Amino acid sequence: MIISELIANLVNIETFIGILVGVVGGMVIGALPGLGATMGIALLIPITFGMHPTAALIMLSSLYTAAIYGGSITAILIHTPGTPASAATAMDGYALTKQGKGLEAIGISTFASMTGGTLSAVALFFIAPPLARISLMFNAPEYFLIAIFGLTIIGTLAGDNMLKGLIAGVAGLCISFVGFDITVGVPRFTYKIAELESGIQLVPALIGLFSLSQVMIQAESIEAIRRGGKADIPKQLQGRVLPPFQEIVREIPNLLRSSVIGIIVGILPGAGGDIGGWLGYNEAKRWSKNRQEFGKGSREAVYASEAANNAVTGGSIIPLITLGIPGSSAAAVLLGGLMIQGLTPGHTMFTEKAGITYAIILGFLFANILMGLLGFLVAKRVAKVANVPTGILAPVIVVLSVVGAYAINLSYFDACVMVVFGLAGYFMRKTGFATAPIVLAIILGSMAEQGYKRAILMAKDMNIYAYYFSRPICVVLILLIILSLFAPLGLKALEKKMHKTHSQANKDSDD
Amino acid sequence: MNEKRKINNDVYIGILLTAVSVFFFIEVTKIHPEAALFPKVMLGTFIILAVLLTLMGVRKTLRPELTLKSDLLLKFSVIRTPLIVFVIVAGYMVLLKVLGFFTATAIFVPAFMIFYGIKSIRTLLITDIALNVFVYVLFVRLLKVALP
Repeated sequence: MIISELIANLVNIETFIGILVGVVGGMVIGALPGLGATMGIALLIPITFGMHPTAALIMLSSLYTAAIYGGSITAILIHTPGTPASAATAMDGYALTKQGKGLEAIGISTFASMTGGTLSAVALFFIAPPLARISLMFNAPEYFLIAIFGLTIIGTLAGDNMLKGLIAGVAGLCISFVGFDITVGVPRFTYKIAELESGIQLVPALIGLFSLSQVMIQAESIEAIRRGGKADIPKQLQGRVLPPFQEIVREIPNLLRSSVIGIIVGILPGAGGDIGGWLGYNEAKRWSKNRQEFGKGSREAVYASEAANNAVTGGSIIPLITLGIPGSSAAAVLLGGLMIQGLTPGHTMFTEKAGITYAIILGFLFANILMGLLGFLVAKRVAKVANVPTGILAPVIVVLSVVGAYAINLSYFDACVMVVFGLAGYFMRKTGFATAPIVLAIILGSMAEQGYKRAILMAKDMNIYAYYFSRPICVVLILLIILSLFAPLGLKALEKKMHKTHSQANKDSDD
Repeated sequence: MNEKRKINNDVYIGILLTAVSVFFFIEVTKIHPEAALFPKVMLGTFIILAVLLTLMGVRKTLRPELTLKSDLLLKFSVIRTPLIVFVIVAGYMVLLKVLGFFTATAIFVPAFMIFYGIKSIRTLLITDIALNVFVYVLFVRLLKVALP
């Protein structure tokens, strides 16, 4: 029954187009410096409204993995990582380009990205179902804590300021209160504006926060844009794009180790593709017999960082579909796409909706393979999109943002909400506030509120705190919340260590 | 010797956020108590965090070595152009209401491109027409979205 549903969901023209659009769109968006997976997913969500959930989510997850790969193309050819996840690749990839081996480096990156992404899809297939079973033990108090846990996780993505990350999360929760209170039936913070009664819609908010704010960020360098500065892509790319078979066999341990690192980093809250890439790079260097080559054009390094950063994508989807906790900011936006399709993360994803969920996972796996195959064929041409002037991209992004925000409810008000959130997002980014916590808090707000209210009812005469501590899963979740509040300190130390290694490698290569 | 101490941006942001959260905290007291319960808790938390941010800002003002990179991004010279971009987008929204989507977009796209320094008539025309056709085919024809 499930298998026939799975095949029906997977083998159809809509799903195939979804994979193709996701992969090609992701590669292009990833290759454009300044645009990344998060923004790409935000822009694409409105197009998924009329699609089947399987095709829609395969398209979004394909875009996610392809954007991470696309970022490595410009990192290798012009030393400009399209996304932060390709920062580690830029070092050795660009060094290979300078040696006239740009095409070989792209081939290595393509193969490693495909391997990392595919292995992460396999991990998603096997790890997610047992993890989802845990959610069966959850009740209102646990859901409240899961919501809070989700918020603290995104707080760890708050850059260099944890306090501001938390403020953004709480602000998002407050935004989620706007509209009718469903338990009592009274309006909150609507100020007699009819459109606000159904609350602030998620999609316009996230498009504004991620897309319009990015256009405003890019406008800061308008003088350079007006001068028409173009990326200096090497005209003659030499070497064979397909890595030699013997080399691939030799690199299997490196690829496996880096992919496992990427998957674990993806599952861990708050650590994204950039940390995954650096960790993969670092471990490859530690295990390598040719450490001295790292930073000077090491092929092993490109294999490692690229396998690891793409493995992060599948890893970060594991907690997303099982517990509703995204492992990265792109996954947080992906959660929005999931909710819009009427899918609720948790056990039902693997029972009632199993036909859809497994089709999404398999579609994600195929997308990674297709990404590799397309990469070998067109990566060189994809690099040329880095030459598309911002003057053309900016109006395209603005118009698609407006249409996308409008399309969800055919509401002009929603389009205006998008513009307001765009301005807010810009100022947040200029003042050190991360935008991802707001989106996640808008999603988790009602879950947190309902859980909180029902937990009070369930506690009856018992003190609410004592009630929480009387539930073992709640205690575990409270510990996880505390752990995730302090995780940024550990991540920061790790990042510092990675940068130190990076600077040392650069210094060595300069010497 | 008497170098004027620059107040960290977090002080202003903290004060602004405290004022906003206090305003909404007062507002929430006018709502049905049951519906106000969770917003009250969260707005209370917001006030505490905003006050903390202000205090951190004061600390950074007194000890400038604690200033983070993200504290120094907001400068008028930097945000001037993005604000103009915002005004243009806001103008586009007004046009959208008055003239409808396709007419407003046909005006907005070339105007925005010229603002970004693109002068080629051919590029302006191709981008404008291609974008309008793309939106028409994808949203109006395929997704059946009735654009204003």
